[in-house]
Amino acid sequence: MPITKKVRDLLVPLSEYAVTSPESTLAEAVPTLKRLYCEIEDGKCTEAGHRSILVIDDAGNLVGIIDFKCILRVLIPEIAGGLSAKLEALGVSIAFAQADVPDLDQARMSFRARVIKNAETKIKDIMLRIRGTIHADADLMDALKLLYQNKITVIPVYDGDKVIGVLRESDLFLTVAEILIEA
Amino acid sequence: MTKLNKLCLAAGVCLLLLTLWAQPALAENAAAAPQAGDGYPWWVWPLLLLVVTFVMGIAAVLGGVGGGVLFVPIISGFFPFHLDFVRGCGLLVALSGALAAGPGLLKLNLASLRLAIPVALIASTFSIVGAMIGLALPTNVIQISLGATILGICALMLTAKKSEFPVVPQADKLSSALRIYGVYQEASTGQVIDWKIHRTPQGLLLFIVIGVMAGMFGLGAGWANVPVLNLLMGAPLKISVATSKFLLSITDTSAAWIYMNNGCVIPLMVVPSLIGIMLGSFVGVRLLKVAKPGLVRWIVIGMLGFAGIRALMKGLGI
Amino acid sequence: MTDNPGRSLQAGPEQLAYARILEKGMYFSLLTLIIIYVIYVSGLLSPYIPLHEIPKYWTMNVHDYLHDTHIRDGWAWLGMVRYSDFLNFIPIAMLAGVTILCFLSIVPILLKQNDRLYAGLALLEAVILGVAASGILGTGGH
Repeated sequence: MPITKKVRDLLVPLSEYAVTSPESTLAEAVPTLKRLYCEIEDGKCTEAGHRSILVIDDAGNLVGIIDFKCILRVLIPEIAGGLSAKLEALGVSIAFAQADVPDLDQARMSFRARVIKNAETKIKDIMLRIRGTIHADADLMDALKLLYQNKITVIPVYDGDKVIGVLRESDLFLTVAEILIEA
Repeated sequence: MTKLNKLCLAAGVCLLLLTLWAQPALAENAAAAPQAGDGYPWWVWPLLLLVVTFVMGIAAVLGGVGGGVLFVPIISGFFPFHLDFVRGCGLLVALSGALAAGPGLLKLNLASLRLAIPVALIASTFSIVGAMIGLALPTNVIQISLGATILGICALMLTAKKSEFPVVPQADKLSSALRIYGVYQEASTGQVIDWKIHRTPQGLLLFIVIGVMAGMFGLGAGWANVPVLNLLMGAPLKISVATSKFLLSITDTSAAWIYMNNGCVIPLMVVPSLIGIMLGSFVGVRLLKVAKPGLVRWIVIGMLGFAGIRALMKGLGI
Repeated sequence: MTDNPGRSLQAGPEQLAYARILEKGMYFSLLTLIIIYVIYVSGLLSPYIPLHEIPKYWTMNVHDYLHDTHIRDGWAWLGMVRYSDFLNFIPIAMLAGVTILCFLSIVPILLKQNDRLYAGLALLEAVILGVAASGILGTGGH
């Protein structure tokens, strides 16, 4: 094992990572993520697998990333949404309150109802933009700095202008462990 | 009695006493109108409008009564403004409230555009008719009919039932032809159900009456739209409420233009009222999250009834 | 979930388009309204009717009001926007007009969906609102 490792040696190849397209819906993308996160098709979920999905368009370009947070955030637009979503929710609440049925307004929808309602939400409407990428031949130190400066946990790795995989926070952790155990 | 209820009761009683005490002064001012200067500087009125509409906005949300139906009776009853200007202002206030709620209701697919468009065609056409009638009839006739209508609205609000998910055995010919149907999601379970409507021709006929009344009196028509959509035509309550609010934006647009083109809009009155009601509604919704006020609806309907009686008396010259 | 492909929990494209235009138009109009009102009330621009004289007019009926102030009804206000009180009518007209814009803009979307009936109905509604806005319909006066 070489003393100096590069990003190329640690990355998770694209073929092993969850990928979806911007036009697919939550109902299509979430089961894919769940399968990889749980790592086994049936039985107990090991929760040791990947926690995000790369969003790649038809041309093969990486356009975004989806993680647990942005999936959950779409369920509470009146709290986690932007100003526009908050004002819309306010307007709806006012409308229902003025009709003497405040308990029917959207703010009181159950968790289950919100999930079903968002089943057809398109990935492109909720995906996060990529906040940092790295080249496959870059040093681990560059990867570490990028991770903390941009506050991300997953870095897409490029070889030329093609995405070939991702480097995760956990991969760097495993390298730390390897070094300490060897020493 | 909860704290909020006690507060609302106290506020209502204070307001009532205040208006009864101020009655002679306001009446004198109204009678001595043509002279400049009521003794109050001009800016007192917009400020007073702002405060009163702010309280009205809160009361509308807590009491489950539309802001549009409160404005004209209460402002015309207790302020010296002529009914023409109050109606013009009231329509703009109701319109803005509906415009503000519109995007959310449409985007969340609570208001049905397919249901709204045919209804709006009828309602907006006849609100133009109502506005023209309302501006042509002498003021005391309008006052009397306004008073009577308000008392009717109070009775309707106290007695009308609501049906969360009415049973519609079969969609009628007209609604099928127009393809007015949709899916409805139960808020608690997320269960998705199909809804359809019936008795569409009868409903549309009633909207003629509703349109005329909205235009004639400058009232928001939510108190009428919801029962017709929900109880008569069988749309789910959630869809009815949302579509009704959205409908107001169309009905009141046409009536507001008629009043505007006839000079019945005084900007000094309109803007503070608009701001007041909107701010009041925001605060009202916040309060609603904290406590469910049981008594407020009775107080609000009571004030509305009181305003209706005043309008009747004004019209009859008592 | 229903199996009928035509019925989705999400709003259709014409509904979303209406909502988007409504939202932008409404917020813009309200913002403009507040700004112009502040200009009006602060006296930055002089009004046609001085502020302290308005209370004597709002107790009379609209016919007398128009007569006494020599204000012509209908769209005549457009010619008087150099006065701050009539300047206020611009955002008010925008608020009252945003619905017309929304209906006009959903007509092409409905046509694209081959829904000629509703495209026609939406156009008709825009026409009705336009007729009300145009001031063609006079009144009998008091």
